[in-house]
Amino acid sequence: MSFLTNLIGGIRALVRKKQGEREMDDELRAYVDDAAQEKMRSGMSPEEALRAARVEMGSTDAVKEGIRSAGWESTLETLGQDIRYGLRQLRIDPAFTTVAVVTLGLGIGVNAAIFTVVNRVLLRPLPYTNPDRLVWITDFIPRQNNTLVFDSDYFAWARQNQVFEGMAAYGGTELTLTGAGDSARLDASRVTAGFFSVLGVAPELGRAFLPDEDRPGGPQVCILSHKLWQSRFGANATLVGKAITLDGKSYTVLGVLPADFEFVANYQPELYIPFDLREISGIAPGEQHMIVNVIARMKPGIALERAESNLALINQGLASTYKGGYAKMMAGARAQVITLQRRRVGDVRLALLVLMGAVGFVLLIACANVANLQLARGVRREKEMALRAALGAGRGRLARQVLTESLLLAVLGGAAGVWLAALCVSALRMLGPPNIPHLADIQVDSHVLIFSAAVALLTGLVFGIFPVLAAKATQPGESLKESGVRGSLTPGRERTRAALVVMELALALVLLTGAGLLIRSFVHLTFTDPGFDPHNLLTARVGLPNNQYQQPAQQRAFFQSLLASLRTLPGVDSAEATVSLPFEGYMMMAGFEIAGHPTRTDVNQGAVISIVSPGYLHALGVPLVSGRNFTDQDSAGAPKVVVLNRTFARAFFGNDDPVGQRIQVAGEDWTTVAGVVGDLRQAGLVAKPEPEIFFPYLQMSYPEMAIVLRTKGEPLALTGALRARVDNLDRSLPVFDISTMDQIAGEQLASRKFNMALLGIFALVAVALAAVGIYGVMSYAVTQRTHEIGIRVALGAAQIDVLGLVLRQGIVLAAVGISIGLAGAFGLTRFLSSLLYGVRPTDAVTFIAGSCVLGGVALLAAYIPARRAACVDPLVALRHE
Amino acid sequence: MNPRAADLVQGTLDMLILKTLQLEPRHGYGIAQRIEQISRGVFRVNPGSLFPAFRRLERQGWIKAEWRPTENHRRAKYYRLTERGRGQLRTETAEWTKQLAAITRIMEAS
Repeated sequence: MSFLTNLIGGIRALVRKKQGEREMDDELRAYVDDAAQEKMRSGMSPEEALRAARVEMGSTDAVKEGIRSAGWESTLETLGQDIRYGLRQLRIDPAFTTVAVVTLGLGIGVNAAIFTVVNRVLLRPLPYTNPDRLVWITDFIPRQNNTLVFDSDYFAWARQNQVFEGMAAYGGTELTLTGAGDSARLDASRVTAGFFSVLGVAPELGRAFLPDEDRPGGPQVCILSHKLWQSRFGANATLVGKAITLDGKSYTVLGVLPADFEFVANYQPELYIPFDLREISGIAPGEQHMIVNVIARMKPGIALERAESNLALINQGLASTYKGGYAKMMAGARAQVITLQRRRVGDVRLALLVLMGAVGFVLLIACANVANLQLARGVRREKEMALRAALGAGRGRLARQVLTESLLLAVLGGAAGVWLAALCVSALRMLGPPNIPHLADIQVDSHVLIFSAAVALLTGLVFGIFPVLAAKATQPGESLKESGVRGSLTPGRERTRAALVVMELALALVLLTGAGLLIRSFVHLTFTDPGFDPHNLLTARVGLPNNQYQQPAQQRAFFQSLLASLRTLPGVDSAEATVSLPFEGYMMMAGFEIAGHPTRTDVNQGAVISIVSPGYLHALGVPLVSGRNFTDQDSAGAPKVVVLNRTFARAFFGNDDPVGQRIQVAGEDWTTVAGVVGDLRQAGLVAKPEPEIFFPYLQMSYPEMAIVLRTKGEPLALTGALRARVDNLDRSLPVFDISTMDQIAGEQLASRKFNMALLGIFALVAVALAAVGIYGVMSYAVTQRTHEIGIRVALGAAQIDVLGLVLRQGIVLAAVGISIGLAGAFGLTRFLSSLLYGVRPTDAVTFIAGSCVLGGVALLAAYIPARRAACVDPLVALRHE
Repeated sequence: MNPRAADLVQGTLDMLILKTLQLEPRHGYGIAQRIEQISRGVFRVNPGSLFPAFRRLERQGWIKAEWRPTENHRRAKYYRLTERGRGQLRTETAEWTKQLAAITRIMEAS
C-alpha cells in the first residue's frame, strides 16, 4: 500500500511540479515568518528577528533540494537535468566533443568489428546437439612430431573406452559425379555409420547410414549435401532411393542433409559415403591401413582430462600390437582430446585473440586520451563546479553530473563505434583470408550491439572516474578565490595526466612492436626462395576414373598424349605434370633404404614421394645441383631412376655425391639416383623443406595429376584451351582446381597479410592517439606556464632555453612510456611466436625501430607546443594575469 | 550563532514528528516548536531535516498535508496523522520502549 502511495505521490509531484514548488516556497516562508514572530515576542526588533530566522533556516534552496530528494522522482528528474545540462556542455565545446567522440568511436568501433569476427568464429557454439560434449581425438607421435590415428587405434578406442557415448571416424576423398549435368569432381567425405548420430544431426530428407552399412563390401549408398541436391538435382524430393553415378559406379541416395549442416573440418564435402573400414587389431608391416580422423561425444559430466586418461590406458594396451617398424614409430604415442570447437578454429584462434588484445589496447589508449581531455576541461570548469557546490550541490550530486557527462560521451562514442564497426565488418567480409571459417557471414548482430553498449558504458566509467576524482579534490572556496582564466595547478591532477600519457605511449609501443614483428615476418616470407619460378604458371588437376583407366599403361598413355597436345598450344612454353603442386602439401611419404648404408635410427628415415613428368623440374625452374634431370628415356622398360632434393642429399649422404647410389623405397624395386635438384617448397613457404624423392611418372604412374603449363603471357587466358584439349581426349573427365601458381603462392600469404595489415592499422591508430595525448598534455602545460615562461624570457632566457625547457618534459614522458612499453612488449610478443617467421619474438631490430618511431612521433607532438612556448612574448604573458 | 542543540538520536525524527501529531494537526513551525518545548530545549530540529522528513512521511502515507488558515489568519500547511500513521506510531513506540529498556538495563548493569 505504502508503495502505491509513494508511487502516486511521486507521479503527482512530477506532473504538478509548479504547484509543488509554489507550495514549498509558501511553506518555508510561513516557517520563517512564524520563527520571526516568536523571536519578536522574546524582544527582538522585527529586522533582527527576521534575519535570525533566516539564518536558522539556512539556504532555502538547500532545504528545498533536501525536500525534493526525499522522493524517488527526484532521481529521475536530476537524471533528466543532468542529461540536458550535459548535452548543453557538450554543445558549448564542440571541439572537445568531436575529438572525444571520434576517439571513442575509433576505440569502440575496432573492438566491435573484431568482436564480430570473434563472436562468429570463436564464441558461437557449433551447430550440433550439445556441441560442448563433442571432441576430436588424435594420437600425438613424438618421433614424428605429428599427429595421426590408424584405423586399428580407432576401433580399439571405440570398443574399449568408458567415457564416450559414441565415436565416429571420417576421411576426405574426391568423387567424380557423372550423369547429372557436366561431369564434376566433388569434395566428398567417407564417414562411419555413426557419424551423424554422434553429431546429433539428422538428414532433412531420407535417413542417415544404418549401423552395418559401413562394413567392407556393404551397400553402395550416399548422402548428399543440401547444396549438391539443389545445384545438381533441382532439389528433387523423389531423388531419395534413386541411384546416381559416382566414379562410374552406381550409388543409392539415402538422404539429404539440412541446408545449415556444417562439416567438422574446414572444408565442406558435397556428399558422404560410408567409410568401409575393416576391423582389425594391431599393425604389422605389409598390412593395409587407413589413417582416419576421429570425433566422439563424451558422456555427460566427463572432463577432457578424464577422457584423455581413459584413452591413455587403452594406448598402453595397444603398444604391444604394433609390429616391426610401427612399434618404433608409435612408441610414446599420446592420445589427445580437444573440443571440436577448438579443433575447428585451429590456428585462427591465436590470431584472433591477438587482434582482440590489440583492439583492447587501442580502446585503453582512447580512454586515456578522453580522460586527459576531460581533466584539461575539468580545470576550465572548476569555477562552475565550485559555484554549484556553493549553491548547495552536494559532492555526490556533482560527481553524478560529471559522470553523466562522461556516459553521454561514451554513448555518442558507442554509436559512432557501431557505425564504424559496420563499415569494418563489410570490409573484413570481402578482404578476410580464406582460412577464417564463416568470415563470409559475419554481421553486426544483437550480440555485437550488446557488446558495444557494454564496452561504451565501461569506457564511460573508466574515463569518467578521473574527472570525478579530480572534482572531489577541488575545494570550492579556493577555486572561487582564484582570479583570471588560469585554473588552479593541482599537482595530483598533473601527475594523473602524465601517467595517462605514459600509459598510452607504452601501450602504443607494444602494438607497434607486435605489428613490426609481423611485418618483418611477412617480408622474410616474401623474400623466401620457393625453389622455383612461380610466375606464368597455369595449374589444373585432371583425375582418371578407376574403371576406364585401371592399368598404369592406360594412365601413362593418357597423360602422355594430353601433355603432347598441350605443348602444341600457342603461348605455351612447356606442359608438364606432377602429383603434388608446390605449396599445396604432399600426398605421400615413405620409408626407404640406401644400399650400403645402415638404416638410421636417430632420425625418421622417410621422405616425401613426388611423381613428375620428365621435364617438370626443368620447366618449373628448379636448379639442377648434380647429375641429370629425368628424360623421356626413363620409361617403363628402362632402368629405374629417382632424383633427390638437396635436403635429402645433405641429410643422408652428407658431403658425398648421391648420384649413382641405389635406393629402395617402401620395399619396392631398387632404383638408381640420377640427379640432385634444389629444394622445392612442397608444404608451403613456412615449412622447412623435407627430404624428397622424385619418381618419373613413366616408371610410377598415378591416376590423378596436376597439369602445369609454363605460359608466355597471362596464364588464365589458356584455361579454355586447356579444357578443350582434355575434352578432345575424353569428354567425361573433369578439370578442376584451375589456378595460377601466383594465386596459390598468394593464398599462402593471405592470412599473414591480413593479420599484419590489421595489427599494423591498429598500431597506427594507437600511435596517432598517443601522439594526440602527449600533444594535449604538453600544450596544456605550456598554457599553464605561460606566465612563468614570460618571466623567464623577461629575465633573459633565450628561445632555445625555453624550447629545451618544454621539450625536456616531453622527452621524460616519452622515455618513461617507451621503457615501460619495451618491458611490456618483451613480455607479450612471445604470444605471437607461432605467427612469426624468420624473426624471434624479441627481435632487437623491431624493438629499436618501434621505439624510434614512437619516440620521434612523441617528440614531434611535444615540439609543436614547445615551439609555441618559445615564441611567448613576455609582455603579453605578464599582462595575461 | 545559537548554541548548538543536541542532535537527535539517529532515526528518531520520524517518530517524534508522528508523536507531535498524535493529538492534533500542526504546521511545520508548530512541530519544530513542539519538539523543542517538550524536550525542554534539548532537541532543536532544523528546517533542513524537518521538511525532507515531512515529504518522506507523506510518501509513506503516514501523514497527510492540507492548507488551512492559522490562528493569526494566514495560510499554513498542516500535517495530520493518517490511520496508517497511527499504527506506525504505535509500532515505533512499542519498539522504542523495548529498546530503551534494554539500553537502560545495559547501562545500569554493574
